[in-house]
Amino acid sequence: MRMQVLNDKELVKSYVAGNEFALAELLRRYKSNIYTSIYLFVKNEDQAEDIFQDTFVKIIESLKRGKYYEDGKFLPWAMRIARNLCIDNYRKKRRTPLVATSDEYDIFSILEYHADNGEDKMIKDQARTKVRDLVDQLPEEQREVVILRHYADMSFKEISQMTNVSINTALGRMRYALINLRKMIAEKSVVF
Amino acid sequence: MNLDFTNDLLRLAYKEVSPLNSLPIIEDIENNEETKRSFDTISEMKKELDLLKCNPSDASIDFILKYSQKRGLVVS
Repeated sequence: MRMQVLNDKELVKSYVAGNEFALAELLRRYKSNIYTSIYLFVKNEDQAEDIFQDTFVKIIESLKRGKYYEDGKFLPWAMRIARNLCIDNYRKKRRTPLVATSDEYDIFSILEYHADNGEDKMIKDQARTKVRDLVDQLPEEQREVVILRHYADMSFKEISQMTNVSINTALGRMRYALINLRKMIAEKSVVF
Repeated sequence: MNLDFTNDLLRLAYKEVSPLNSLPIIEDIENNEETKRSFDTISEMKKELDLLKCNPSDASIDFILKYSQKRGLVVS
């Protein structure tokens, strides 16, 4: 059976039944979405590789233990795991508990920046570096929505559920993010 | 330069509008210069963001696939 023609729900079912090719297809479909999102969250290539591996280890364990109930929505479920691991990673490094001031909190307020750590190794392409720098300059809540919508390919509804805000708030943050990026490019005359 | 745009345009750019609901938005893009400029700006920014997409190393993929195979053997 060709894995490419199966939808996510069918792939998960096939994998749980023991078909390793189904996992390979899920990886092929979503490795870029998940890895790019993790990388933008933690801003460090080595950590991103580790968290990417840990994310799939958790995914594998959850699937094998029958703890997947998302009914076909594999990517949002996988991204929740990845996002939580990014937060856990930061907490472990800092060894300080997160103090939430309200029901919602922002991942970027607790994530560390490693701009000078292996920069040359991390980013080989100059255009990518410039775009990443621009994304990094966005206000935290706007940057998170850009990562989740553009790179993780989650819908605005799914983002609103993950981040505990309304859909209009998620849309508004994305709007302002794109507006700010456009302005930054115009102001800095960034040429790609 | 007016950089603002509506949520509808944003959702259309990210293919979150049903075909039926997208018709009036597309019509507006075709007939309104300002709306067209706004939609072009969103499309342009999406292309810029696409430059940043990257992939994990082959070593990470190998690790995951091997872990899965071992896990499968343990279960069976």
